[in-house]
Amino acid sequence: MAQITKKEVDVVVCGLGWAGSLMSIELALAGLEVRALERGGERDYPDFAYPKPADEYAYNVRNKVFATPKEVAVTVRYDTTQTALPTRKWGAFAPGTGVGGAGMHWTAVLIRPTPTDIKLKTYVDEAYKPGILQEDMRVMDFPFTWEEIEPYYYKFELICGQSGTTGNLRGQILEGGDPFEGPRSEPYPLPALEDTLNNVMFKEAATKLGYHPFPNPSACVSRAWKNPYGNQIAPCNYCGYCSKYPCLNYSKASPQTAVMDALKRMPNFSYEVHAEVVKVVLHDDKKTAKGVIYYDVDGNEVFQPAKIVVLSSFQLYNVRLMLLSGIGKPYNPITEEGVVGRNYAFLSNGGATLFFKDKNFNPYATAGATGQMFNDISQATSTVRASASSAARRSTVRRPPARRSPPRCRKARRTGAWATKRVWKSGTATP
Amino acid sequence: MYGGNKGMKAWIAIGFPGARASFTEWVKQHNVPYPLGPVSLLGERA
Repeated sequence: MAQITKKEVDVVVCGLGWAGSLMSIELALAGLEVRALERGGERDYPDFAYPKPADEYAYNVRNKVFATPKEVAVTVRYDTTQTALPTRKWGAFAPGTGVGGAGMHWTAVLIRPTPTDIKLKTYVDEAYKPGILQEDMRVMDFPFTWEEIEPYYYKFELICGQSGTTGNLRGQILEGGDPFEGPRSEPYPLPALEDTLNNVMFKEAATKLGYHPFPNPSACVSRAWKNPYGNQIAPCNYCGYCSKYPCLNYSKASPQTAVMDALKRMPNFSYEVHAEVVKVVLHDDKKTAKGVIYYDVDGNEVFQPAKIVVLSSFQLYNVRLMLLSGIGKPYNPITEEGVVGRNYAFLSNGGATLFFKDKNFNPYATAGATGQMFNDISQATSTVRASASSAARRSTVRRPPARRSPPRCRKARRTGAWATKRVWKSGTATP
Repeated sequence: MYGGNKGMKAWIAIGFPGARASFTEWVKQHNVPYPLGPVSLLGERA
């Protein structure tokens, strides 16, 4: 029952997904001693070798690389009159786990917000008359400007080998890209992915209607890429197994392909898997932290002292850790006081499936991010997008018509109050 | 492998090539039927 105490490090990183791996490498490059703790298991290249990932039943249906409801019990209720009940089977969302987190198997559609998105309250106040927003709406401004944040969007795009067509380069509107995007300081690092037949049809139809379609910004890279950390990412081979799958071709930007190879080589970085952080230990001032308590693979309770504690276990679990650790004021949905746990945002989408008897689509020949989209409808809050493979269903032709749970959301991992409507999904030609 | 799709008949019926998972040359060929039959994860062919 005795608690093991580890040697103090400069930084302990709780959760080794995108945020955790990027924090780790940046702080390690700055010379700090960094130790990362990951609740889940190792996820490394032997797991990704073809043909393992080409298994739709295991990954898409049985959520092979996701956390299980047993491991990460979540209770859900629809309003405060109900008692929250445990989720036994993932439906609308499924949390990631393991080294790489959900970043290992995301669909790699990497879209920037616009300058309007990050200052939405200001925009509404300026563009509409007072009182247009209902009183309980939570529209706010983010506490940074486009000029401050844009260089970091670009930095992450370099890390990922972002592939697409530039629409606005330092204020100059360029053909083929999104004319509504915020001004880029630099063009996309790589050209866009190839369009599939359904994308070409969508693009033609949208253009004829006066919209401005452009290729989905993609972190499935279109060319061989070496990123600023020295990691190499291979060009996508349009295998069709993307969302919910590890990439069998090293082509999808992920913590593994974009960060971990360089990070693991650094002598001032170490990490432990099957290490579940349960509490951040605070100093007596209750405003600063001195380390974390976690349970290791053998079930031992361990105290990891650190000068800096980074919570990077995904918003849902970061909030849980903060609540368990007594950090900040918990959000109270009745009195509307407190911040921790407030405004958890989730993405929903819908769509329509169209069938064309006279056309042959080969819907399995696609990347995860393949698609065309346009932002004409409302630049700030909604996009209409054709996506050939976001469904990542190669062997099913259509979804079951009746659903009891909300449609499964593939973009749930990206935060932000985006309402997206997918209006086009390819189907195979009926014989 | 999982007890269904015997002989890959379901895949043949919908024209799915199975676990081939590499279509660099095919993504650009629009409205062209894919000529090869399905391959299973265990390496079987139909």
